[in-house]
Amino acid sequence: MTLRVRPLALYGSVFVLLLYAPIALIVGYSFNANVVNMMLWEGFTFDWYRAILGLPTTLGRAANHVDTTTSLRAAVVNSAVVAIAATVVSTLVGTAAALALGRAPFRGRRAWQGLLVLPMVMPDIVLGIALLVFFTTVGLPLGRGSIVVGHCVFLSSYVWVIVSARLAGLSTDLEQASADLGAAPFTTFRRVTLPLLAFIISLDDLVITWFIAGVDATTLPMFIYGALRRGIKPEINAMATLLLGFSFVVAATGLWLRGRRL
Amino acid sequence: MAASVLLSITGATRRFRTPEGGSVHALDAVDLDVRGNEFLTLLGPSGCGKTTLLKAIAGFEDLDAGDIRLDGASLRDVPAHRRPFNTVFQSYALFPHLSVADNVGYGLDVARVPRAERDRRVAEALARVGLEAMGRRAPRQLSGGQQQRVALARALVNRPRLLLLDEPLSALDRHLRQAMQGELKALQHDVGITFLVVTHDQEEALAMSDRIAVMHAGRVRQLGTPAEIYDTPVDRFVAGFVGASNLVRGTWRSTAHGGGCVTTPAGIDIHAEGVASIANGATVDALLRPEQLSPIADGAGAAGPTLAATVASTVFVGPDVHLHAHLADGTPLQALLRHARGQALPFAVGARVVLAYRPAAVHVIAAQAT
Ligand SMILES: Nc1ncnc2c1ncn2[C@@H]1O[C@H](COP(=O)(O)OP(=O)(O)O)[C@@H](O)[C@H]1O
Ligand SMILES: [Mg+2]
Repeated sequence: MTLRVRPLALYGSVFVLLLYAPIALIVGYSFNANVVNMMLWEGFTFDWYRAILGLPTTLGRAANHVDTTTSLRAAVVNSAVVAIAATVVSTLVGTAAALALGRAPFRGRRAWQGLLVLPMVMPDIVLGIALLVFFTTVGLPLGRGSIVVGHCVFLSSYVWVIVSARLAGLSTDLEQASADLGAAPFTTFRRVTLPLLAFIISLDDLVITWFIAGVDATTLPMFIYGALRRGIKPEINAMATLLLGFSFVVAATGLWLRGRRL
Repeated sequence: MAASVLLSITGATRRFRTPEGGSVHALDAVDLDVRGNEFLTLLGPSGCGKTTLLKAIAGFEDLDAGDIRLDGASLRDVPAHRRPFNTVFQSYALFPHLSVADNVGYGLDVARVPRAERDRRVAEALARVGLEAMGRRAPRQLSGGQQQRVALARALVNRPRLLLLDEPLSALDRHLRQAMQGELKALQHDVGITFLVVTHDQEEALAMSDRIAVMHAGRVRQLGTPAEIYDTPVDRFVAGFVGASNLVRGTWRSTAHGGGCVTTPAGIDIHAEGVASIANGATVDALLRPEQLSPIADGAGAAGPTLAATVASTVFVGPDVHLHAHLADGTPLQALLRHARGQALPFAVGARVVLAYRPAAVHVIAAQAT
């Protein structure tokens, strides 16, 4: 009997392992009762989750942890607010841009399209510095509001790309049919173009936008980077596990919606 | 019967730029009159400009030159949504976000027709196309043939002056297509609305139309009744495009009263009658439709002129047998034989055959420079 290792199967296994091992570790650590060193298993506990939710715990407060629970919760709320606001605003802005560039004939379309691509290809640091300079110049206070604006700059571009692709697939026949049946241009827009866009874009594109909005440079990751310097309190693991579960639910819902419509 | 002209198209010209930098004449000085209450078909091969002409009439395509007039008034500055025409799109273009009934009612809603009248007319239109039970369905829950009926009802419910149909039957299977040809024709007769139908299918055009405009390369080559188009095509293109045809090139030699004969370079004579205004000695094409040639095995008993040929093949297609033969100089000819059940075909491949014809059944076309 010979044991044959298929190269592709081996590669696949290693790939999946590298991808998910760190995540599996975090999920594991989030149930570890060891307050001092999270890498040594000391017993199973829900206490880190209880701590996040503000429930009483049985764990003694370890001396080497700053109490970060409150600021962790605030960071999560901030992240959610920023992501929701940025998703909604950039969906509106990006869709309007796609409609204008896709349906209304006007000069310099190419130039506008190029300008819309730029925020996606520009290095984040360049965009960040540019926004910082801009905000301070115009006197916009740095905070949630400016973070939302900053996100909208590149998120609108992503939305524009997604909606443009959908719009290109939407045959102009339907808009012509509407005009043919006597509808003036604005009536056609209101009764055909807009409902059809809502019909074909819907939730799964919002999910994509949400993920792009949620991943980078929001306030939760900033908090986690900060916490890394101060020493990690294991409740971060619990928070990460909760977020993981939430992301999983959102992604599954998106996939389910997409699958149901096709 | 002098039917009035509804729509008059004069010198309609439309050029498109090709990606290679040249330009194509989708429409090249098209003149066409559409009469009130007729079933007119635009027939031509793919790319000859049929859709462009239909879109220009509907108002979705501008003309570079020429004009389209409705009751004598130019439509140049009338946008599509103000033209009293409706279109049945090739793709049907049903609104996927609306029910069948709301699709049909769209034009009435936009025109703010009162609710009760709107509902009554929608129901009536759906009943007319046999879909009274389908009003609440979504378009995608219908078969292709049913979707097409919805598109038809959606257009007809507005009682347009002119109904434009772009290849309305091309997406249907053969049986449904033939049934719908008859239905379209009956529908046009019932509702009394002028139909302008585009098709590339010559059988369909012959079966449905009051008149046919045969198009080629952006021009209308011939306008006439189906019988005129079939029996007396004006050029080789029309002769070849409509129906099966035998075209034999030769020199015209007239005798008396429109009679004469077409002589091929090999000296074969084809006699014709009723030929007007072709100069003696002109190069011409003699058109012999396959059903006008009667194959006779032994050559005996032929009353009129005949052509001697050799059988190349026979093809059985059900009601008919197609007999392919060639003349002494190699010119291929096709003849039709009625299939007679229980009788063996008397024509073996390679056998001699005599093809009898009536000179009055031969159509002579003056050959053009092209
Ligand atoms: N929007 C367009 N841009 C460039 N060329 C076009 C356009 N529409 C039609 N054409 C060209 O014009 C010619 C006629 O097209 P069309 O009217 O669609 O033909 P048909 O309907 O008879 O098949 C074709 O050569 C086609 O390629
Ligand atoms: Mg076409």
